Amino acid sequence: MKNRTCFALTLALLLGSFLPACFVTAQEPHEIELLVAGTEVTDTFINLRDQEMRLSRADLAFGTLTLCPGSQAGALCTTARMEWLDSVIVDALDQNLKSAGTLTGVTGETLSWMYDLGFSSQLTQTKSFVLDAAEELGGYSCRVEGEYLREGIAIPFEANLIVQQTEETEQGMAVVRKSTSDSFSHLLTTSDQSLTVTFDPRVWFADSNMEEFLEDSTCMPEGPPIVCRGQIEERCDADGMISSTTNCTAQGQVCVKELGCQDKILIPDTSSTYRSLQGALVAGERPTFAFN
Amino acid sequence: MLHPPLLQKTSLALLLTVVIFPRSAIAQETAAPEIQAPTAPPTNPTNPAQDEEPQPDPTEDTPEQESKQTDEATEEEKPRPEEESESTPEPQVVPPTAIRHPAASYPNSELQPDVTPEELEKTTVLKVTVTASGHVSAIEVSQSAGPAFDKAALEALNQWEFSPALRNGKPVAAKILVPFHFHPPEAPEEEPPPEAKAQEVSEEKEAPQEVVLFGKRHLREENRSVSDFELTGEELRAAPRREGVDVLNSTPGLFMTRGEGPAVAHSYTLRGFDSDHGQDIEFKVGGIPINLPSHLHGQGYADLNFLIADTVEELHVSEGVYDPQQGDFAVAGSIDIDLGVDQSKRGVVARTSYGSFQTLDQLVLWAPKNSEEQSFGAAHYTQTNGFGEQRAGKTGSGILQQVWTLGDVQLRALGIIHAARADTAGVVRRDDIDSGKLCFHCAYPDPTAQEQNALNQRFLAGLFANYRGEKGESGEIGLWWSYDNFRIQENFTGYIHSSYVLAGVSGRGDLIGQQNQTLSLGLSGRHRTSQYRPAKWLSGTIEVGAAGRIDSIEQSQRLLDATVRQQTWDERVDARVHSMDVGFWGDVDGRIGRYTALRVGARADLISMTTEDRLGNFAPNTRPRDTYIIGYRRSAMGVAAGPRASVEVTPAHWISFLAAYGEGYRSPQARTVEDGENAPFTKVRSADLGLKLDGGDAFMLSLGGYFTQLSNDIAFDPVEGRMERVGASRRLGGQLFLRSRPAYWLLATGSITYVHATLLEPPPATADEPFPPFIEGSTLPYVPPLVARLDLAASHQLMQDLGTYPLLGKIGVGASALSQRPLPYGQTAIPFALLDASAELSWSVFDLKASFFNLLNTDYAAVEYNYASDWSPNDGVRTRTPARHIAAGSPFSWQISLGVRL
Repeated sequence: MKNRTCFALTLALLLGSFLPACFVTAQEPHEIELLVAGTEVTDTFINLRDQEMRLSRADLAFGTLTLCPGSQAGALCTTARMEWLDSVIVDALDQNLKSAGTLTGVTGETLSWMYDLGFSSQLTQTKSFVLDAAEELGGYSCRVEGEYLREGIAIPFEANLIVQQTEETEQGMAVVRKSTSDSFSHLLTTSDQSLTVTFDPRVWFADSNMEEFLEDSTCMPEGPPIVCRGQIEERCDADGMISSTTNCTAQGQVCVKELGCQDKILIPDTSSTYRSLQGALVAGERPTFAFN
Repeated sequence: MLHPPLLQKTSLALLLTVVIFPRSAIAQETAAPEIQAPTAPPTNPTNPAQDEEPQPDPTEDTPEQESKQTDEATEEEKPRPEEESESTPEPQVVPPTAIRHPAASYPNSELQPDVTPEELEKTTVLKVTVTASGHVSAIEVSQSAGPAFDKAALEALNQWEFSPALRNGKPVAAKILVPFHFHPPEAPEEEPPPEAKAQEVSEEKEAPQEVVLFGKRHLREENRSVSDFELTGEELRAAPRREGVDVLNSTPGLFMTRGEGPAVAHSYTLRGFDSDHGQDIEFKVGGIPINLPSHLHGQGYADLNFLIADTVEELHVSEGVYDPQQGDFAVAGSIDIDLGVDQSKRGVVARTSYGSFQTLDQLVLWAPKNSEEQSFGAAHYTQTNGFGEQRAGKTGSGILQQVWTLGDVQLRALGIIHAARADTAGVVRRDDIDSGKLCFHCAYPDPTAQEQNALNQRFLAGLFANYRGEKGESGEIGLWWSYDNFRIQENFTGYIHSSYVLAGVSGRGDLIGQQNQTLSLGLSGRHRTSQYRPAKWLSGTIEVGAAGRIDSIEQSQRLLDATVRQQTWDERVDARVHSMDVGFWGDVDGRIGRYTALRVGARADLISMTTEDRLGNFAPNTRPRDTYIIGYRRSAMGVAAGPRASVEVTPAHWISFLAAYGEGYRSPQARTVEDGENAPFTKVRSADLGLKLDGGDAFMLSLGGYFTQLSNDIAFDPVEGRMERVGASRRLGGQLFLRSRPAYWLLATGSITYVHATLLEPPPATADEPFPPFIEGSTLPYVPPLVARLDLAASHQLMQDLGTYPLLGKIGVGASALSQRPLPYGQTAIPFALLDASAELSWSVFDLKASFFNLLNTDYAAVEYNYASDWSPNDGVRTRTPARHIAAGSPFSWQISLGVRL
């Protein structure tokens, strides 16, 4: 009888060792929904350069997104608190929430974030991965269209931006990272259900200068072959004399510096406006992160 | 062939003088007062043909023994026997007792009608070694009565079974003299009735004979708590062992796995401590410390791969820290491994084994019969292709130990040399296994994974002396030297590292190359007085001791590019460390009254270290590099001191209650210590409470609970491939251990250990984890709450006479179970159980053994972690969330071995 009891006790202990154990852990695996939204911008807005604009398109290839435990995302974010490795096109002019996917990770304090804009740089690759959203945008991180309102004239513009890490920058890191001056802190718990990231495209243009593409000049010796005198295109000969003029406005066009009459300003990647847009996307005013 | 009519009275008697005789031929020490004299082997007056009979109570004193005990006590100090037994540190010895003893036949050829009956009386005396399992081995003719009589005696004795000699209740080998007296048959044509024969046998009592007990000389009381265990070679080898270090599997509460191949130390878990490669267990082999302080691959790194199972005589396991002799790394406890070769296994042995995965194993053992058990030489070589990709390896070990006894002084020299090199498969992500990308035992195909390997070279040498005086005083002194060279290349994280040194260089594979060389010199000594008796009810001994070591360590850690001949692409560690640890202790081993033993002591260690960190102060972003020389030199010193105390109450000989408290320490990784840091060590507080039930040879059971608190625990960080601090921790647990020999042919040991291990405070903040997650009662990662182990051996004589030699059979079973265990980031590792079995036949000089490991073919993780990695650099965006990684354990395997013992 004693032997049986002993055997049963031993067996119970051994079997017990295989039952699911209950461990007290400070962290738990957790998933939350990632929602993205834009900001409805129906009116014109004025940027820091007192330039008035109106936006008709602001599509952003958003993703990947990583939430980090440390206050500095980047190289110190070896282990993410949560991450989402997909990408989605955010219509930054649409304030309706859109589900982008699921953030997976663990609970705990998160003090920083970092995300890519359709291009994800890897330590092992010299070229970034082009994510689906960027593919859908024609290979761009961001496409914006709008009008620059100048002296009552609406000058359309378009910018197609690529924002990614290069060999000269920080390879292997997400391109947009919370800076130390940004305030972001949240204790992720299992009660968190979603994270909403809201973009306001107006801030992208905070420092853009559309005047860069406009001018009020005339032909002169050793000058460019095409100049804009306001909305009048002047073509210049070798001696700097006007050879022909065209009223762009009359053709429903806009006179763009060095290009003459164009349907719109196509912001080139060599321009300071392009760089300021890139800079605003990477380091400008941040989207808002809200946990629910 | 025996003819029943010729069965003659054979008398035997074994000994009345018992001589404790460690490691030498005939000791001159006096008998311990507690030694119980053996009785003549039992006989069954109603059935003399029955071989197996009830064993008499060996504790019953014979008149001769009582006389002997009286003679040996001086008139002045003569205590009552029970008083002496309470106070003396002498071991309790019970000699072997024959429990199966077929009689010898009077040789027909010697029955000469023309000689007188007196001339027909003959006596052959055999000197026989009785193993710790009670088997007969190494019979010699000590006194010959002629070839025919000697042969008859030998044939009879070969069939005898003994209850083994016991020292402190533990079976040990012993050498005894067995006389066979041949009386001529009075009436050969008329067989005497069985009762008459039996009566004749039982009447024959012999003069006192000598008994020689083999094994380690008993110098001091080692057992302090309910968690102290002594495991004999027989118990350690009960279950099949794949390699030498597997003898440790029987240790209660210990679970060992091998995640990095045979050239790297095992990962040890002991009663709630994930000791990684030995940080929480103080290992000694033959008195030489094995743990390496400030080892780059793991603090207290303890590689025991040089062990040869056949040469492990005994394990003394002290879980907790209650003996002042326990020093650095005695956090979960200490394991002392005594080397020696049991008398039954001695001889010149050559054994070849072959098994799964083209594993070839060769052993040569030289251990002359009837010499000291601790004297032997052994060499061992193994090569294998491994059980999966990237697991081929070779190891070789040589161990030489020689003991000389010079009166009361015993000298021992020990030398160990070992080398191993093996490929390692490293870790793989579980999600890659689950998705079918990799098989369970596969390795990643990337060059950075395929270049994982390790090499270890170690040399150990020691010279030890001990003495035991006539009044019981004892002392030991030892000098040892160790050199260790360790190199490993392994990749835990795939491709997530960037170079600190070369700007813009990254993604070349996180193949970490670690190199660690340690040269150590150590000295230890102690002296224990003879017994003081200030009052009739109070007695005790006092011990003082010291142990010190100095270590010179060179270490480096680099990132290597496997695609360009292991080109270094980053430097992480380049340091030289000198450390010294000098410990002093005192210990009083006292007896209060009849039932209580109280042991109180204290130990203090002075730990100092200097570090020349050649990469320290590396800050190229803050200062131009040409304005300073990289390097950071620092030193620190601290004192770790604490009491050690235990009390044992033994109200009856079969039960004792034990309580113990002690404070120990663990030295830090020297590189983690800041300049001038005052108390860099980890403080350990440990307590045990429990009881032991001692049923003699039949069973021993211990049941206890324990508590351990650490001021600063450490855990393995796979990203950096080394140990990192995790904060204060506490363990609360219990342990059940049972050793049983329900029949002379059956031996079983088993243990179950439960622990609740928790963190007491948040882990230290780091830049990437400034607020480490923590809640009250957080479970410590990697610690399995339950560990269970069962060892079983059954041996029996299958045939008495197979070509003049008996055929012995033995089966062994070993089973281990590990419960679920928590991993970081809220994950849980899968529980598993492993079952090993073996069958062995011994005949004449041959041994044939078949061993089967992991009989259930369980897919289990030898180690399992949870952290972020990137092993798919070309398949998409790198993930940074933690993922479970495993290093697979060995699947089912077999091994056949054939040995010859001469």
